[in-house]
Amino acid sequence: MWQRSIETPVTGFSVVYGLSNNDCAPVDNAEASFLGYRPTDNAEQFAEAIVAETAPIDSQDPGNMCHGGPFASVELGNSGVATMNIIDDTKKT
Amino acid sequence: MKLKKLVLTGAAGRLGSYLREPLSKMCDALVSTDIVDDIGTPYDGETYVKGDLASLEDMMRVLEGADMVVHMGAYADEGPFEKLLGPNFLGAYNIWEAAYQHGLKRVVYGSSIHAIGMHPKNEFIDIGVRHRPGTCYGLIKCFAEDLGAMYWDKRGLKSVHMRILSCAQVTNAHALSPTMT
Repeated sequence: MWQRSIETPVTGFSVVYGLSNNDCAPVDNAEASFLGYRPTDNAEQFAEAIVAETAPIDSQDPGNMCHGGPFASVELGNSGVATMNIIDDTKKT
Repeated sequence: MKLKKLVLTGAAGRLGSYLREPLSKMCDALVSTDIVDDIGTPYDGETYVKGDLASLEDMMRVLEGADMVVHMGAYADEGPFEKLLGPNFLGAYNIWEAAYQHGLKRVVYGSSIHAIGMHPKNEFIDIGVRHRPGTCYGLIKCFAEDLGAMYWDKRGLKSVHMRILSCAQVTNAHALSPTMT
């Protein structure tokens, strides 16, 4: 996506959603088609394992319901990342 | 066409650390910048320049002579507004202003799903949906998107705003799908 955003000859002011080619993609990139960003990976391959170890999900919780995930339910000013179990896999050189 | 000079902000961050190598191959000279003292061994064609996003003077120095900037630098979490004000808010302004003053061709910006994060997942949304942030972090992403739109409309500076959803190993259900409920 970064490569296409740099190399596409025509842009102006443009917005594109950055996600893989997921079966459950919740957003539509059709209007950004001109960028030529065509992802191939699909997070669905991880779904069975993740669902198996996840407690039942409360769909009334904005943190589950909304695009922002935990950021949608966290109090303003509090960390959203803290609840997301993000692995710090920063690449070292 | 290979770029002469490309700038990457946030080079010490998690995403930045993965962008350095591929970006270094897309240009003659990659200037990576961040607030830390050191980001390790540079790739071929890469140099590291320490700089503070909150300082227009620093960003003017870093962006001088560049063709484009990939702006990924920010405090990468929700936090008190005052904590985000320098790196995220002023940082965005300084990048666009320095890019304009130096005549850069484009800003490629690491925006975020959090700019529209309060839209429900079961409503399939396009890129024209209204801003709907759920955090100060997202609110400032909205500001930066509007900043990019204004600099395009008024000053002809191009920008691509990448609203990144999740860019990490899949370790939670949120990273999977909108319809797991």
